[in-house]
Amino acid sequence: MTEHEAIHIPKAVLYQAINVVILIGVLYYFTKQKIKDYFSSRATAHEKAKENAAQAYKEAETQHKDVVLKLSNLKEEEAAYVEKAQAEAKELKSKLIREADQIAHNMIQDAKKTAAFELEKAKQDLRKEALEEALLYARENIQKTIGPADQKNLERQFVDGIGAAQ
Amino acid sequence: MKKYSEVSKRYAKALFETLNGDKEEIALQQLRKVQAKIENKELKKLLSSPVLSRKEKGIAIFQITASLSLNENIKGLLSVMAAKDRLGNLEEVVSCFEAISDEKNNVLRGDVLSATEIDQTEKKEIERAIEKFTKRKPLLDYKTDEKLIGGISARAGSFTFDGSLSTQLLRLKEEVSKAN
Repeated sequence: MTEHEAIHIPKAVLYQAINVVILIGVLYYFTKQKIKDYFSSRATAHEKAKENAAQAYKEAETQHKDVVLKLSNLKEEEAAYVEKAQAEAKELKSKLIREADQIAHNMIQDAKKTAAFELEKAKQDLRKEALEEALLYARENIQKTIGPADQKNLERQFVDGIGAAQ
Repeated sequence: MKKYSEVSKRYAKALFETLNGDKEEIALQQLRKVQAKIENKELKKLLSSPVLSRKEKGIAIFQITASLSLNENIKGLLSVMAAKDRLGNLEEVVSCFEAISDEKNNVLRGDVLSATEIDQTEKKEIERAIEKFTKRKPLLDYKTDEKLIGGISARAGSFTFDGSLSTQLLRLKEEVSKAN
């Protein structure tokens, strides 16, 4: 094969190639800035996401530290809480016992007063009954034994009594 | 004196003045009889009722008391009271008349309760003692009451004299109760 034959490119292909090159050039010219902006904004977003992730990581670490600290404090305070609760329970128990003692004392006093009152009432009732009986007996006895002479005597006493009252 | 209405006082005073110190006790007895005649609740209501005219009430009262042969002064009083429609006040008028009469005559009314009957001599002694004490002439009504057991109890005006055994027993009971 000759040199002339080796580099022979058909004319149609050559023109098409030139068109492709021009097309590529035009495309490059018109889309260059947009593509550049697109990738630039994506880079910025990635950068921001990276920063946010770093911030979140930092916060998580801080919280982790806090939780660890609280857990260790909780263990230290646990004993104090238990001790305080025991003291309060002890105080409450003695208070309840004191109150129960006071209530029992009051109940005993009330019962004593009631018993004394009932006793006095019973005595009074008995006295009253005895007195009623005695008076009834006296009335019946007088009615049986009183005679005309006694009546005259009483009438005389009545008249004398009015005279003496002046 | 007990409190009476002005109307009753006027009628009682008028009757007292017309009697002029004469036959007051008889008038009082007659008034009490009239009062007893109209004591019936229905009759009392009828005499106070506005259904009957004053004239009809006057006729009614005279018919009711016709058998009593009343003193002219009493008849006059009843006639005026019927004409003025005041027959409803009769009870108060009688009571007021008695009070006026007793006050003018220095009389003290009362009653005596005794366990047994009292004879005239004793009655006079009781009246004398009460008159001496009250300085007024007692007009006493005597009754017996077995509940007294023995002795006498008397009330004259606002005075009370109690010498009954039942009261003495009651006093004894009170004293013993207080001592306990």
